[in-house]
Amino acid sequence: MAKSLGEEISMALSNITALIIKTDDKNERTQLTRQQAKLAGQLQIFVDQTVDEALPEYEEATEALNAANGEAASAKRKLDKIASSIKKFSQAITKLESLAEKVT
Amino acid sequence: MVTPNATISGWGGILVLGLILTFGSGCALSAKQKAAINQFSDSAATLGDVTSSELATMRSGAIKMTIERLLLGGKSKDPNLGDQATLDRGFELNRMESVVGATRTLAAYGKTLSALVDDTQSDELNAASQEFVASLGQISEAQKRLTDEQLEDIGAAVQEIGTFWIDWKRKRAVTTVIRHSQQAVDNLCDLLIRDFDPQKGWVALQLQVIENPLLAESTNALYDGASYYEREVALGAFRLAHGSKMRRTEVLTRIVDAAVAMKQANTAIVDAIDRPGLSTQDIRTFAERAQSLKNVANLIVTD
Repeated sequence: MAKSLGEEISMALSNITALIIKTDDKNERTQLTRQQAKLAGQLQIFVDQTVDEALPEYEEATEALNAANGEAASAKRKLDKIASSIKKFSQAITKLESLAEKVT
Repeated sequence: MVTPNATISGWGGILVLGLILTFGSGCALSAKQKAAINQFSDSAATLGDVTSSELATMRSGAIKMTIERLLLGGKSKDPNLGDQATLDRGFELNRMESVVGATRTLAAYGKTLSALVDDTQSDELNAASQEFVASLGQISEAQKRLTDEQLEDIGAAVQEIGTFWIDWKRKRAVTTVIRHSQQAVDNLCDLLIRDFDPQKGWVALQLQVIENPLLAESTNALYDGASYYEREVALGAFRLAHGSKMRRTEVLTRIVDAAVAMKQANTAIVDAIDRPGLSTQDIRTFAERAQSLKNVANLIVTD
């Protein structure tokens, strides 16, 4: 399978870096370091273009998941309300009883 | 003759029996289902949290590496690379905000789902039913007709009804949330699998753009260094690049592995809710991968 442009540049960058590490000659290393910087710059441009296309996808994914989180949080709040509803019912009974005592 | 006591316990019995038949048979999550959902949600939280924290570490590592390259080699040799005015080149805040926003939301999804499944209501219900019985006992008519034992029975029935009601609502809520979020979770997993790929994903390529020029400058500084101090500075820079390479290879591989496993587990969790007896192997695999990611992230030294 053919490699993408990013993979091709990445491989070239790895190879030239390995050469820099192996080379003892200072002049050769200086030349290789300049070539390496150009390759790294090209890879940076490729990454920039890729990221520009990817970011809106992350924003969409965040929005969709946030909706799910909201749904779960709301369901949890409703569950939590059941016990408090029983408590409120108890309080209502107590109030009704004291009201009934006053009326009779 | 039918006594008030018999009437109450008779009606209470029928009511509780009816509720057990209605709600007890498959209308609540089974222990196995709860365990599967908990394992899934905990692992989702781990994947989201560790990925967010690793991205933050990558950003601070990128800034350190760019500073070190500039110190060793001077002005950038290509205008597209980071310089003194763009130290965070490649890991700028707006980029990180979008990606980390998504991974944090994934962690929040795991935590919210876990909170929904966990039983935090038993104590609350117990207190509420006791309060209910106490208030019922204050009614003079009830005091005349009901014994303490009957009041206790009523309290127990209230608690059971509440428990059944909560369990039924819980299962319905969990099922809805998991079903509704299935597509969103799958999409995010696909993004992580594509972008965190250690060979061709943009996160790995971005790290390489920063790492490799630093390796070149630190090699030059090490070979040309005339003193112990100069070589020490060069080796410090190597160490930075090495730590970044570890993240690029080991951490990214595990993030992708965990995201692949999460996608499979995401399908399995929907099946597990529909069919309680189904195998949850995919969910266990996801849990193992998420744990492996966490372990490796903890092992890699951060300067």
